Amino acid sequence: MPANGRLGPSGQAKRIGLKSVLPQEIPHPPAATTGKPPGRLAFARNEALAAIAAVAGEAVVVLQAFAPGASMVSAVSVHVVVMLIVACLLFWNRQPSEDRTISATIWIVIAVAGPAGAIASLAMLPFIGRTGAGPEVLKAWYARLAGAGHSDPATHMYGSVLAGRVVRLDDTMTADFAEVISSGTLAERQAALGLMARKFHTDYAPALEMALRSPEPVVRVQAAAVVARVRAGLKVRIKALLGEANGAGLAGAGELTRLADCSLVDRADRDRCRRGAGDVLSIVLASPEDVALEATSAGGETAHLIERFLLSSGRLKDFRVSRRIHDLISGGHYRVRRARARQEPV
Amino acid sequence: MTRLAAPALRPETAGSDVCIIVEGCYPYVPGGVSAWIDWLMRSQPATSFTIVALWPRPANLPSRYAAPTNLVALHHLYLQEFGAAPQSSGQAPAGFERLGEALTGFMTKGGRTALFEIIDELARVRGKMPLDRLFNSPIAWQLVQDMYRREMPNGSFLHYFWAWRALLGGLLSVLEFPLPKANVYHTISTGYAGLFAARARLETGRPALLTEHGIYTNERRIELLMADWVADTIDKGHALDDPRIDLRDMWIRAFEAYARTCYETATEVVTLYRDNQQPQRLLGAGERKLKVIANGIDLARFSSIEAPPAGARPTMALIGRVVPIKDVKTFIEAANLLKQRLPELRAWVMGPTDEDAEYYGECVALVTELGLEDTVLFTGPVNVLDYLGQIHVMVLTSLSESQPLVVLEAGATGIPFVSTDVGSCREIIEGPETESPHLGPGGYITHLAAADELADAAGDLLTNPVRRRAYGEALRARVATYYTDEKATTAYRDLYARLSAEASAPLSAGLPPAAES
Repeated sequence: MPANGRLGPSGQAKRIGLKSVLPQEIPHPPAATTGKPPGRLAFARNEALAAIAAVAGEAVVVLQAFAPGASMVSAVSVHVVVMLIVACLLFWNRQPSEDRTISATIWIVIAVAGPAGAIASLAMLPFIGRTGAGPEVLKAWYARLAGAGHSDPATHMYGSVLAGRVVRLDDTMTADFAEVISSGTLAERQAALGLMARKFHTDYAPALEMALRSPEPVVRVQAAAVVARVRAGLKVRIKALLGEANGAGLAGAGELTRLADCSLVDRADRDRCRRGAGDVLSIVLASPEDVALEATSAGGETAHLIERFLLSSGRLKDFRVSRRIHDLISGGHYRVRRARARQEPV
Repeated sequence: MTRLAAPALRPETAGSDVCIIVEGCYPYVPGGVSAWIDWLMRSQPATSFTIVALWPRPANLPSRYAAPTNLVALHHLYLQEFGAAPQSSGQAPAGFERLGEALTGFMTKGGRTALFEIIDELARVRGKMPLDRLFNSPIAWQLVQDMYRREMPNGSFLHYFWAWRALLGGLLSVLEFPLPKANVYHTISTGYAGLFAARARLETGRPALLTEHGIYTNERRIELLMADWVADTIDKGHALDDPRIDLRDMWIRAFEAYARTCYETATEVVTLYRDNQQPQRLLGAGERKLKVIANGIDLARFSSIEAPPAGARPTMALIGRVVPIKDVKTFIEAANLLKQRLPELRAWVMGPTDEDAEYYGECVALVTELGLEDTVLFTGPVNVLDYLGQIHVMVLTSLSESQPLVVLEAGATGIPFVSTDVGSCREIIEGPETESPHLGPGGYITHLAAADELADAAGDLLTNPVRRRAYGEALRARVATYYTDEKATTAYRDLYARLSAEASAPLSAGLPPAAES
């Protein structure tokens, strides 16, 4: 721990000159340097009384056990009484927030080990007072870990800036673009078209086409501008995907297939996308093992793409393998076990 | 630093009849608006003009138009050059908070009263410290922090700061630039040019006229909503109703505020066609000041062109640059569909092909792929007068237009037209709702990017000579009625005369009377 009694973050803040702006940081009690905190003294006194009482009580238990004519039942009964007395001494009149870890440990040691436990508890007493962290220290530290209390102004500012800029999931809903285009206000329609332009996905094409046919000239003009931009963007994307050749992998093939179905892509590019997707798939899915592997790892949309490709290229056996794997995966372990069971006799 | 080269002009003496304020085009960038300004000045030889050309900063551009004799002076207003050498000290003048409040109000809502307030506030501040010094002083730093807290408290301050510099720098440039003397201030857009005209109206009491070809605010809004250069500093996901203001919203709000100010302050708001008036109304242009003056055409140039002889090969043509916004591919696909019904079809694309070589290459590839080499012909830039006599149907597949000249040229020749529903095409082809007596349709309107609709419409006109002739004549009659050079010239001459007569003495204080009660 640094000499100023502060842990890492504050020490760091001091080094970078933020000392003056960190007055509200949670203080760590000066446990080792300024004497014992009040909570810890109370704790030690209870322990000491309990340990002494236990030693005395357990001595009676020993006498009871080894005295001529004594029975084991009476010794156990005395031990139980001793344990009740020790429990009262340890736990009676303690604050709910106080740490009872050491008290509970002592009580359990005495309960289990009897006289030996009592002697051990008494022997432990000098060491209990020397532990570095009392309950207050731990309480503060736990609070700090939990992020409770006041943060420093810099942290507070960072938090508020971040909170002001992150996406709000609670009070803003993502709108259905098609609905907005057909019945939203002019500002909403324009905002939706702007979003479609900046974050275009092929699924937005129908909404965009609807905007192109809007009776509102302002909306049509903007939709036309968006279409021009989107078309140019799609062209670049298609070029890039086809340029990546087989490096595009299944994800690329999936995107090419989506683009081939997009009405905003012109005919020649749609054909190129279809051919490109077919080329990628025919290489990636060159062998039945690959089919099994890829179908296993592929998501729903890509698995569908693989199966469509297998059907269109007449690879019916591969198609059945892919279907089988898909069924097994969707059926979970039960289906897998059943399949194995059926295969074993063969 | 090089300056924009001004054309040789007569020295300005006692001002001019009309001061035209234009942003980013005349006389250095050729195009529709520049050509229109040139036409306007030449069509009004008895009127003297001054031009205030707004540019971001000085640039070494050659003038693309010879100055007409009635152009008295050309002034350059640079929007991003405002500010004196940085000041390291400076004390905020008393009432400084009011300036922040007024500027925030103006840049977020705008309006005639808001502009008057900031003119007033700035005049007060100017008395204590020149505004160009203030703009680069610690006072501006206080101002930007104050406005950030009011306007965009969740967004990135760093981004706000630079956007604020650009917007406020432009605003102060416009408000500090010396006003040329003129009877009428005529702006060709809203934005900063519109603000300049609004300020001139408030400070001099002279009429301010706005002529919008395209709707500037809408163009900026579209541009800003799609722009990648505007950082999104707040993550709104896909939500459309998130109330937090980010940079994109800030820019859009500012341009809408400027437009609202211009619409509210302008004496008359003119546009080329009625559909444009809806966004003008939405941003505060009063109904009584709205006016349509369409561009015109010289009918005499087309009067001698005959229709194609009977038995001529069926021909449809698209006149325009081969660029994506013209959607030439839809035209080619329509030609492909139509060729199945009309094997003799000719489809011409008449216009420059070098502006977007890649797109042109794709169009040629599409023609080859569809086996249309004998059908589709790219003529390159040509004199359309040489071709109009061979064309049965004219086609426009554009995704966006304002008032395309080619529709008027087809109408002047009596060629029916098939067009997408863009700009004023519907109004020209089908006639305005108010047309009485109705002259009949001059062709067909289709949806955008709808090759099948286009093929059906063009096919109908190509195979039905009676309808083709009737539609061609209706279009010719409509163009002759509404879209002639003479009509446009007369409309502006009358407008200038009326506004000049209305021009009153400069106002010493207070708002001048609103243009519309």
